[in-house]
Amino acid sequence: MNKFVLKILVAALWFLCLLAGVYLIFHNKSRQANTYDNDAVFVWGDSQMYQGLDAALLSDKTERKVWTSVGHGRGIYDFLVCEKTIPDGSTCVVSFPECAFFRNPLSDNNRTGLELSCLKDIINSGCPLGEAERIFELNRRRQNINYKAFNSEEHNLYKYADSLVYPEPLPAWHPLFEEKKDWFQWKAKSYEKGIHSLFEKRSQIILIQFPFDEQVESFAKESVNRHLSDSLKTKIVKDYSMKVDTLELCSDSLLMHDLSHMNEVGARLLTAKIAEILSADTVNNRFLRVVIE
Amino acid sequence: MLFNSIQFAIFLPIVFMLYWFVFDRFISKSKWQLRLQNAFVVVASYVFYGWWDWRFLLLIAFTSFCSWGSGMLMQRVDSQQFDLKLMGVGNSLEINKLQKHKKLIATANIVLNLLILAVFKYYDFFVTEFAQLFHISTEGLLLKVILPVGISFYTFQALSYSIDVYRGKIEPTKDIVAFFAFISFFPQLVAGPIERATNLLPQFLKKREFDYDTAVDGMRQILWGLFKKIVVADNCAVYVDQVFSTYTEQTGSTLLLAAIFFTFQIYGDFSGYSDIAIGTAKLFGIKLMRNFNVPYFSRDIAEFWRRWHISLTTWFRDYVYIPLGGSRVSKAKVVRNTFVIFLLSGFWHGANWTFIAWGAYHAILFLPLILTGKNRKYTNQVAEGRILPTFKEAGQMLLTFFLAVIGWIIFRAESIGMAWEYFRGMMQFGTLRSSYRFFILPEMWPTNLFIVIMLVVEWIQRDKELGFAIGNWHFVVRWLMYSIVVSLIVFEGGQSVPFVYFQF
Repeated sequence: MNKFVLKILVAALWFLCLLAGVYLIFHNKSRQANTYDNDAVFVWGDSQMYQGLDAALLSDKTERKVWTSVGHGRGIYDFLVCEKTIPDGSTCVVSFPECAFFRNPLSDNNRTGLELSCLKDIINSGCPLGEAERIFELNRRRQNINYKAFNSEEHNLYKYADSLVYPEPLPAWHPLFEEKKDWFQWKAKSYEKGIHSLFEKRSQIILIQFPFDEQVESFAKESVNRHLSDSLKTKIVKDYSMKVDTLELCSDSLLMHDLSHMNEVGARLLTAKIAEILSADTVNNRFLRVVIE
Repeated sequence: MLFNSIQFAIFLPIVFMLYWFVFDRFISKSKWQLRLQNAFVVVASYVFYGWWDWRFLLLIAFTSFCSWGSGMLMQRVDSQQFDLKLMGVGNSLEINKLQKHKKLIATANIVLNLLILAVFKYYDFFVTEFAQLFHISTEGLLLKVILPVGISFYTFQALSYSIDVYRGKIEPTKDIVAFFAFISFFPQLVAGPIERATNLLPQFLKKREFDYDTAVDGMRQILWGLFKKIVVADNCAVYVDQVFSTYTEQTGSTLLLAAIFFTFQIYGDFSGYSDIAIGTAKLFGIKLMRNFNVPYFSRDIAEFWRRWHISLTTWFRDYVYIPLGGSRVSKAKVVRNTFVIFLLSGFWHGANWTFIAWGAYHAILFLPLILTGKNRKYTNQVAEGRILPTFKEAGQMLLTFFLAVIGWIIFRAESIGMAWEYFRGMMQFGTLRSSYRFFILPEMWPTNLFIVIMLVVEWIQRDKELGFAIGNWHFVVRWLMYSIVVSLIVFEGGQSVPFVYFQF
């Protein structure tokens, strides 16, 4: 019996060392894969950014390389992982993702890669251990350890249509804004940590708050969660001396594809405006609130 | 709690240490030692099950109590019969009356257990089907309760006890704690093997001894089970789920490949679970029955069914097929009996016509073999004493595998209509011609390789009870194998997918 327990302990120790060794080899390869030119523009965001920014157009207009890490359901852990790979002094266009703040963590698509330091960060921000374990589980595979955080100009715009589509009915949006979410605090704290790291890297940061359709805005603007995200916004703006701008997009055409995503017309309009800001001689840290007129 | 979760990785060592070091060693002088150890098994099992949903613990406790109680009542009747016979005062009328009384107790318990199963598993299905048939609304009629995990498994285990006690195959136990441990023993509680009281219950009635070799074997079996589940099944699941959810948009070769992948997924998933369960039980000095015996190396469907989900197949054989007369009746009755067990076996899996159709499909494949007396043609292991099979054997195995694949499509489909459309999609021109391409696609390489590893290892070990029986291999090779398997489990395993058989 004692022999068995002893052998199991030795085996566990051996496997731990083995796994740590394999992890370090893969992770080292990932470090090499994630080397970027600091003159590039780095874009991170969830689906609102994925559908709302034309990365190729941004690259054309700014004549700079654009690296994107965008996708549906991207979570805050994912932002921290991407932030780790961004070189010092680069320009970052980052989503201020209200949906990611309010959405149940179970629906977060945190699959970019495994970074133990980022896991530690979110745990220190108050993330429950069960959720951290879930993120670990999502990222424990080889391709998530040896990962590449940014892709070249990845985007996917929704085609223009004369009317909105409703993948989810309007009432389904009420709880997202109106029901208090336990996870908001740790997500917000983690997000702030990511912004703080970018600031320490002397990055030029542009935070973008994407619009929702007016049907959602009508109840979201006075909702409990919007108040929380507004407080977070105010804190970040104050702490990092950001310039706050409202970007008004005007067009005769419909600019939204559905209740939370812009269509290709809206995305290109917004991209052009962001390109203008990036092409200016000096780019301050900014918080851009996008509004559709 | 899932076997492939971190919670279980913490739970198992704690339970193991307490089981052997506290409840076996330090209180070994107490006459209550066995009872306390069994009570600990019950508590650990309830924690394991309650982790998923504690409310359904009441259901297990109720099932256990009723089955134990029925056993005790049957024993009382037996002792009354014995007294009458011993004293020579009872006439045959009184003894018959007591026998009827005993039958009534057993029947009541069986009906009660089946009723619970029917309410939770089949009620909504029947109501919906009747409502459709008579064009009435189901509003307010459906229960919409979630299916308690493992209900089909532990109910069948409880049923086997009642039937065996009634038949006099086993003495009813007075030890309620041991009985509760028998029903709820956590390694096999939620997805089997469905144990017989004759095998498992006596093991809870005597002191377990720790055996080093058995425990090491158990660890190897757990490791191999995790490989089959996490590396093979979960990787196949990614592709299978994607294709089955968009089957109308897929080409024939994609559909064929997804069906083949599902064939390996369900095997890796379920036999992986069984291996983990059997291996875990070995750590506690308990021997569970074998549930899989390399079924995809079968030469005909009859052999396949002797090797697939053995605990369920033998359950139906012993408690349904043989009481119906088995194969020693007229041919018409053999046909009836065959259909009865296959349809019941299909329906056991769930309340859906697809499972019934899957059972019927296998009954049709099985019938020619049993009617011609060839159902027990292959009782040995394929290519016994040889490394490779003959061409004939290889052809037989491929054909049986292909027949199983067809069956799994019906099983996996959400409706009969979907299965039909899936078959139609697969029958497109060029399906076979272009299928090979999937095996050379780079993104398919890892999963294909893992399937090949599983098949090669199981082929080499096919005459052994355990796929990973490498205890007599050289130390270095053995540890190299363990290291590779552990690394594959951690770094190449698919995203955690619940065990397929949990839903049954």
